[in-house]
Amino acid sequence: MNAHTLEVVLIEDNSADVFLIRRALKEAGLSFNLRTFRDGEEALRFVEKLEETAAPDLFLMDWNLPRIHGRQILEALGHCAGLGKTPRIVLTSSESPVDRMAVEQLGGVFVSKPRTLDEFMQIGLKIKIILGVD
Amino acid sequence: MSVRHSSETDLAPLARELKEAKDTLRAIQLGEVDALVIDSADGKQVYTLQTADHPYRILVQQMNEGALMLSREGFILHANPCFSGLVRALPQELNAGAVERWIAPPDRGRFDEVLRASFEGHPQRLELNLIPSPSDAAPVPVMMSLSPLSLESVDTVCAVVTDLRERRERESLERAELMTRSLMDHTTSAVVITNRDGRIVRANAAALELAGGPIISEPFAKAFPLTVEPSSAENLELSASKLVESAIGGASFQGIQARMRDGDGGVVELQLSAGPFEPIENGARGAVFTLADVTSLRLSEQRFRALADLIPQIVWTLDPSGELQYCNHVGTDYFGMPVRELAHARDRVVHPDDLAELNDAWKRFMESEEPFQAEYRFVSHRGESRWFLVRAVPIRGAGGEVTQWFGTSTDVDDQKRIENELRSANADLEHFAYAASHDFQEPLRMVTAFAQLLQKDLGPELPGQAAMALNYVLEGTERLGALLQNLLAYIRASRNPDAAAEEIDCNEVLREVIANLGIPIQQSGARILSTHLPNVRCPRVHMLELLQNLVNNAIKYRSAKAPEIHIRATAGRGEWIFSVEDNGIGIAPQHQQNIFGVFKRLHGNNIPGTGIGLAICRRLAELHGGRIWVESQVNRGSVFYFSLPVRAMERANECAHA
Repeated sequence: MNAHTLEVVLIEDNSADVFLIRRALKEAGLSFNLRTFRDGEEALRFVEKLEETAAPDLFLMDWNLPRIHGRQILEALGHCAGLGKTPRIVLTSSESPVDRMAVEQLGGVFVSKPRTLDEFMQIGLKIKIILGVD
Repeated sequence: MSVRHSSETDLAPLARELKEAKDTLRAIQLGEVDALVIDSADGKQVYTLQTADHPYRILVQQMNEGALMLSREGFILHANPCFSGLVRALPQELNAGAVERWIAPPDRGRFDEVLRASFEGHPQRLELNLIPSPSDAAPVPVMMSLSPLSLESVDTVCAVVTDLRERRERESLERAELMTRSLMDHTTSAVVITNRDGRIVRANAAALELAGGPIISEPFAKAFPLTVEPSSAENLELSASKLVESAIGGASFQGIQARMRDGDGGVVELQLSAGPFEPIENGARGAVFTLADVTSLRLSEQRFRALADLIPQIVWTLDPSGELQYCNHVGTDYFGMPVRELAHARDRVVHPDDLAELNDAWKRFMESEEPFQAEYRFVSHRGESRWFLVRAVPIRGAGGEVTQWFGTSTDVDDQKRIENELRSANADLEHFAYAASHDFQEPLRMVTAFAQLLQKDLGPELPGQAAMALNYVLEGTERLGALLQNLLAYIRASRNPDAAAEEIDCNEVLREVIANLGIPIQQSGARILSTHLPNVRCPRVHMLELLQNLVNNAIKYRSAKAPEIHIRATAGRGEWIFSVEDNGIGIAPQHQQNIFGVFKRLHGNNIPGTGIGLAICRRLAELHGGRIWVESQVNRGSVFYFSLPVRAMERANECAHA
């Protein structure tokens, strides 16, 4: 892929994490448009209305979301035609193997929220690898 | 004259013959020969007793010993009447018959040997049994003396047969008497034998002491003025004299309670038995009495009951068949019924839900005769169910047989309830601590990330004070993070202990520990030595945690010397004992208990740590039924030990490997 502006959908209720993720993407040198949803319900409505042509390049989402759980959003994404190849990364403070298994079964990538800033910044690099961006 | 004159030479052979005849007569009179062999026209003739001297023959015929003359083949050439009498046969049945017929089969072999030896010229003696003619007659023990009668070439053997029956009887009587006397003298109970008139004919030392004076020839009832307790003699009105009469009449009595005044005027409690005694004075029946002094027994029984009523437990005894004999007041008060009712009320006093289990366990206990311990609910007379700890042991007699069952039931209801409350409170607390530490991680992560962000973005621009303040914030978050991690590990340690239990090779676990601690080992120059460690069954992470914490501590609390750490495992009683020995700074005695508590630290921040490692170790060791402890000397080093019980599976494995 070339260096076109990435369309990134972020579903995260914690504004501190939104801040850190934005920073991580920037530090990785990515050019991106971040569309942020603060709760699952709002995100679900958006996902259900998505047109194939307007499909984003990446979904970044929390797991324990208010109102609508991350699981339901992953399921909804699974039902959307045309989103089959769009990577979805679940960033969560959970360390439970049960959650990891659920995420992976629904086609997501499970990433534990790092404890330190340095590790957090690594997430940007991870995303680059997943998207195949230089 | 002419005769005298006619031949001096004719007289000489006559004189010789006369001398020979005189010598023969003398030899026969002195018993030097038993028979004569005379050459005649028909060849050699044996002249035995029948043909020998008449008085000698009469002697043999009439003597009170059996006499036999036997041929080499063992045929009877002659038997005297006494021998006929011994075997109860007629003389004609005996003569010319084989002597073996009259000898008991087991003795025949020996007899043959002896007979053969005596024909070789050696006199022999042996004891054997004769079998008399009537088939129902008892064998007759005899002593047989065999002497060769070698008269020129014809051999016979003379046997003198002595009846040993009287001697045997005398010996056995003497033995019986000796035994009786020894038995009586070594019995601590008084033993008294009376004749048919109830007069004492024998008494042992204990009897004399009890009576306090000479009692031989005294009537029993006078020597022992007993008062018999009616209840113990099945409501019979038994006076001492009645008892004597009944015993002589053939009746037996046991376990009769009686009392009498002894010589000092004190009252002696006695346990008495009485019965007929047969072999007294020409077969006339007498009686035998034994009197055991049970005064001290009675006293100790009284003491036992007083004590049993003082203690707050229910105390009880059962007879060998399992029937309730005794229960103290605590028990009869709790159940609200007397002992004889309680003995048949198990179905009512045991909580219905516990009854089947108790019955089963009790049956096993009575069969195995092993000490018993279990908890059951008993229903009080007010209908309240309370938990009791029931313990019981068998009491054994001298022969190892169970004579009584002894037990206590302790009311543990309050204790049990408090334990349950405590357990549930602990569980709640733990749950809270777990949830809280988990939830604390999220805000801590925020603080950490943003403090680091500030440092990253503004670090060089921050004035000195602010930079320092930010450093403290970061240090604090790091420390709090480590504490939360450890607290979570500590709580997790006791959850689902068997979830990941597996057969693990502790040598492998130790290799992993050494790999994990690579950096501190390298930095401290530590040497880690270990003996061969066993396989155990427990979750791998638990063993890893135990060894890693202990080895890590051994490195951390090192002295100026490079650490030398020995890891060992030895087999104890049904458990493995692991030890981690170091040459570090050691632990003062007053701190050796504290170190296993949560957040207990002996050292300030100069040695990093959260004070939870040993608490986790203790929790893990105890979780698996083991213990943890330390032996240490300041400046010399410490040895940390932990034990793990050997479980059935490992025993099976060891057997398989052996």
